Amino acid sequence: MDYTLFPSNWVLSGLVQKHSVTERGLHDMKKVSVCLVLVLLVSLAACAKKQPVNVGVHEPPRQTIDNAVTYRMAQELGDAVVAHYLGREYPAEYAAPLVSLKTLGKDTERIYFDTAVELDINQKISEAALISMRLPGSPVYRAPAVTADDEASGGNQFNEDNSAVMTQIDNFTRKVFPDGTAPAVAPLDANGMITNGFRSWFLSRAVEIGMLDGRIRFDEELRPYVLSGECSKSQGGLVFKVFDATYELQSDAIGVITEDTKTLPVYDLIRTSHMYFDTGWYRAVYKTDPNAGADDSVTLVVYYRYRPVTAEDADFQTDLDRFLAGVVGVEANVERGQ
Amino acid sequence: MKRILSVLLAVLLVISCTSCTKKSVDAEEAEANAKAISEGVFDWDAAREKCISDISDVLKVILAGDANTYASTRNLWMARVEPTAQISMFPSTPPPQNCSAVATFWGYSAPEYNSENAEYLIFNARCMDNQTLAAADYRIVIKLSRGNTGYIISEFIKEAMFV
Repeated sequence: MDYTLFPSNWVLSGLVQKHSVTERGLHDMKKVSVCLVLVLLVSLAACAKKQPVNVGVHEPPRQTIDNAVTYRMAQELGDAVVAHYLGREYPAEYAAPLVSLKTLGKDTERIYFDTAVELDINQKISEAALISMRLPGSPVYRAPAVTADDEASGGNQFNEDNSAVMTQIDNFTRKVFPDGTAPAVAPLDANGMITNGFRSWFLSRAVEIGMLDGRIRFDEELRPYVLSGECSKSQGGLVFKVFDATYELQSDAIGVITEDTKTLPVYDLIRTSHMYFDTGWYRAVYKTDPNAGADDSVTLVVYYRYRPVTAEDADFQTDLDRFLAGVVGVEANVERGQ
Repeated sequence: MKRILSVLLAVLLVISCTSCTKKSVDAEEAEANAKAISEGVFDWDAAREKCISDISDVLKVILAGDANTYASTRNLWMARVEPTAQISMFPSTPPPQNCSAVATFWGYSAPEYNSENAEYLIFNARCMDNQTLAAADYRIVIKLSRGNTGYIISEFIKEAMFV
């Protein structure tokens, strides 16, 4: 038997044969061993190449998109997401999954004024408090002693008809106290600080007579601010009257408000693409309608996921109800340009 | 000395054999794919599954690979990415360093389920700074096109997740 001709035959025929091994046979075995090692190494290398490094996690498990109806409803819901996000009208039946979705317009952001506004307002409150203390009607009002001369002249110097009092009241105080009487509110507390009651009364009065912009509010620390949603053009814009002065807020500070998203042409969006994935994820892209006449453009991306409701006892009147019950994770995000 | 030389020669032989085998296997595979595609018997589902697995790994490099790995991956994959998508998939600057990333497959959109009548994959990815542990999440949408020898990437969209 010639073992060198075909080593595999040799291997297959069995090394355990009890034949005597000659010198030549030993030499051949060495050659064959080297060949075997090489073959083994090549095989190992090839195997290593073929083994894919599969570290990617495949999840969640695939689900079959049930039918075209679901696909159509997915697109309709996407449109509703956009309308909700922009504060616009959309069919009420789509509202349920959108409850937790915020709107793009932020109408309740507090926009604080410069400290000069706070100082102006506080100064006027102080002036009004001091004046009110000297006017009839105030809880702290003390009528001065009436002299014989006063009696002879037939009046009290602080009476509204008393010219001596009225000359102390300038244009500001004439407006605040038109009849020369003060409100029945203590202007100062025991520590000599303006009371909240008087402050409220005065600010209401100032708004009432047009000396102070009614949109101005005050926080817990009595710092003046305005809500972003109240800075729209229809509500007076960015200019605020504060007694003898006017202050203008920067539009950058206001951000996007609902009136903008409802009315500006840049938010007239059209769906440019949408895709529905076999795991229930839906993605749609909306962009400013090029025919809307907007100077700028925005891109809005919508995401959500539909997971079929499997509960057998769930009672749905329509396919839409069943679909909406399975919608989770609704998101919308807008970016300028693109 | 002879033994050392023999071992070195053996190692060189193994390396060259492996390389040749790989090249020939790739070429053969491409040829076989081209033939199967032209005959209409190519298994696109299987090819897509492989794509998903491969891309998951590539995304990790794109998001947080070290500069060398990024460069080599970029070179390796450029041929499988259409020119219009190359910059968005492989920006000229490498990703932030000293970060880790995971990429999770989130679904496949068949042509009848999207406005482009195309095939899309979507992945969710997270990139985390190894020092600060600050993390950023992304959604990555990949448009697949059917080439002559298999899938190619024709669009790559990376979106930061909404806050």
